[in-house]
Amino acid sequence: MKEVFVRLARCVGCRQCEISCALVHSESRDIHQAVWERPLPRQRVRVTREGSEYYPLRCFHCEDAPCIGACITGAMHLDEDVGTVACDTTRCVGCWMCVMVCPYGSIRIHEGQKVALKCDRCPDEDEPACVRGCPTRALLVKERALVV
Amino acid sequence: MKHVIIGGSAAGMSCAETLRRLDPKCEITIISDEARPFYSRCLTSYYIAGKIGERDMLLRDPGFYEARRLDLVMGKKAVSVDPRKKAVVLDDGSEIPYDRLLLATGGRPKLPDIPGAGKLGVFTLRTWDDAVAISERAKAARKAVVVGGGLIGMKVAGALRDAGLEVRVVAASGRVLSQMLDDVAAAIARRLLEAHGFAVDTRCDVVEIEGDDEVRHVRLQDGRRVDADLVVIGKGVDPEVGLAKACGARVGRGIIVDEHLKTSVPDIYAAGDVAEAYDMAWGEPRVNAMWTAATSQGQVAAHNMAGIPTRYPGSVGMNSIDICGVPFISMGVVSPRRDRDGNGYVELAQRRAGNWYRKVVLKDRVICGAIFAGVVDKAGVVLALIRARARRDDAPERILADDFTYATFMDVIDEKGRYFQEGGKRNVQRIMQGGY
Ligand SMILES: Cc1cc2nc3c(=O)[nH]c(=O)nc-3n(C[C@H](O)[C@H](O)[C@H](O)COP(=O)(O)OP(=O)(O)OC[C@H]3O[C@@H](n4cnc5c(N)ncnc54)[C@H](O)[C@@H]3O)c2cc1C
Ligand code: SF4
Ligand code: SF4
Repeated sequence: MKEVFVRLARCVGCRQCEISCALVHSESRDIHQAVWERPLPRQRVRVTREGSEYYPLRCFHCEDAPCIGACITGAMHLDEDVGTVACDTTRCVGCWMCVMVCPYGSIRIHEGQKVALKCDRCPDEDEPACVRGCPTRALLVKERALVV
Repeated sequence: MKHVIIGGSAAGMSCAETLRRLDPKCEITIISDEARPFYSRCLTSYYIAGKIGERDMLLRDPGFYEARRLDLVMGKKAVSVDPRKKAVVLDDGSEIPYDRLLLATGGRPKLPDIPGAGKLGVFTLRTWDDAVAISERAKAARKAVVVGGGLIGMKVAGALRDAGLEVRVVAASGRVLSQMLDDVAAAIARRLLEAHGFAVDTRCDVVEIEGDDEVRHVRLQDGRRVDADLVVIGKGVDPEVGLAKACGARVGRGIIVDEHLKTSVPDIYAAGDVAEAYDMAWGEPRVNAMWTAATSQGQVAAHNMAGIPTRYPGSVGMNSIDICGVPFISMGVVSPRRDRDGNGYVELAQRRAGNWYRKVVLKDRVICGAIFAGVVDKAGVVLALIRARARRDDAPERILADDFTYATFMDVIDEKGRYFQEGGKRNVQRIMQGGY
């Protein structure tokens, strides 16, 4: 199964992954138009700084994901074909049970629509947008089994 | 191997599904006294509000039970368990034998003996049928009184307001959401409620429900008499321990289980709202009645029932609620001075403009509880910190300043961050996230 991995030493904190993520989840998918969209397109990856290191934080698509066990509507579910944890925002009621239990802070709140937003690992793209956008190749896609 | 599960909701269903995954051959029977397949109890208030329809209440597709060969006995009540014969007796007199039994019978709303509580138009909310009855009544009703300011009371109040009714909340304690919030957070919630047109009475009770057959007024403790054509009583929930008691299992507030979720009777397990399992924040057994704990306890019980010894690490009592568009999350120990004498606990809090409030509670310098109001997006990281029970002296300050992420506490939370770094630790064991 494919996974997104991080080479921390290469991350320079440029936030290109955040921009690519927001863009791929925008209506227009065009940066010049996307900045005018309301609500603003949101990224699901967040780059934070801790000491001298930058961390691009995203959903790990956990096995036994706590967010699925906590979800009261069945919106948060395992997409068995690709092994991702996905949120069906049409079923989400914004109860934030998933936000309460995700140990990684990977779920964002869409204030306008009151639904949970998270990484969907770009099901319609060849490569996740964050990976494609990263200029230093700090993010990369690999087979999970190769690394463990 | 024949597994029998009493109760087909969060705990029972997650157990059944896990059992099937672990053992494709075993027999699984689920007994439910509700005449409906698996639905979301937590959505009943959303159903009353008209935000969720029939289809979205159901959590599994039709055909789900058949595809997984789960034998569902619907609309029948288990009336006794015979641990010597290893059989469950149903209300129609039939007997169902078991090798392993799970009690996932959940809870039942407390019914205080308020005179007139039997009148038409007075309800409790636990089941989908209750929700259907309440929303039927709400169609022609104008004024509702919600007795109880707890989580369910607040959810019903919000739902009835969404359904267009005038709503009064009558809470016995000095604040709304008294279990979940502290005074400051509860004051924020109350202000929001009042600004949105709810009437809120604290330190007050309903002493009588008046009307001929139907409710017309309620009389309050302070002598006031207010109009009401719909009353919902939300005064808490009692674990449904009858079956367990009658078959000799040890029962406290809930059914007492060990770290494998076994009861004191051989081959009988318990999970969900009915079980009194270990609480990680209090460091002692507690009934934590919530969906998350029910699903993960169901999974852990299934492993043990299938013969795969699995420890339940414990739960942390927690909740999330939206009050008039503002999110509140609370977890673990939040009012140590009220719930205990407060000795050994330290409370630190931060208040900002608007509805922003945050609190952490420490014991022996380890975080054991937190409240978030207004901004809740990283609450899960703090929960992970509570569950890790690790000491990080910079944690309170950074949490209160909202200057933290998972990366800040990665060293004490888990190895996953590293596991997902290339060249990071190899051969890291599969990290179990279950057990919430
Ligand atoms: C209005 C409302 C809102 C809620 N909102 C939330 C929320 O937002 N988040 C959250 O975490 N939790 C919430 N909860 C709590 C949550 O619903 C429970 O924690 C969860 O349903 C517990 O699951 P369970 O399987 O242990 O028990 P239950 O869901 O209570 O299921 C037990 C089942 O067993 C059946 N049963 C009992 N005795 C017998 C018998 N003798 N024979 C046959 N069947 C029997 C019952 O009829 C019932 O169907 C809410 C609850 C309510 C009522
Ligand atoms: S949202 Fe959080 S809990 Fe859910 S799969 Fe992603 S990292 Fe895991
Ligand atoms: S916020 Fe949405 S996805 Fe998250 S638990 Fe609630 S219903 Fe499920």
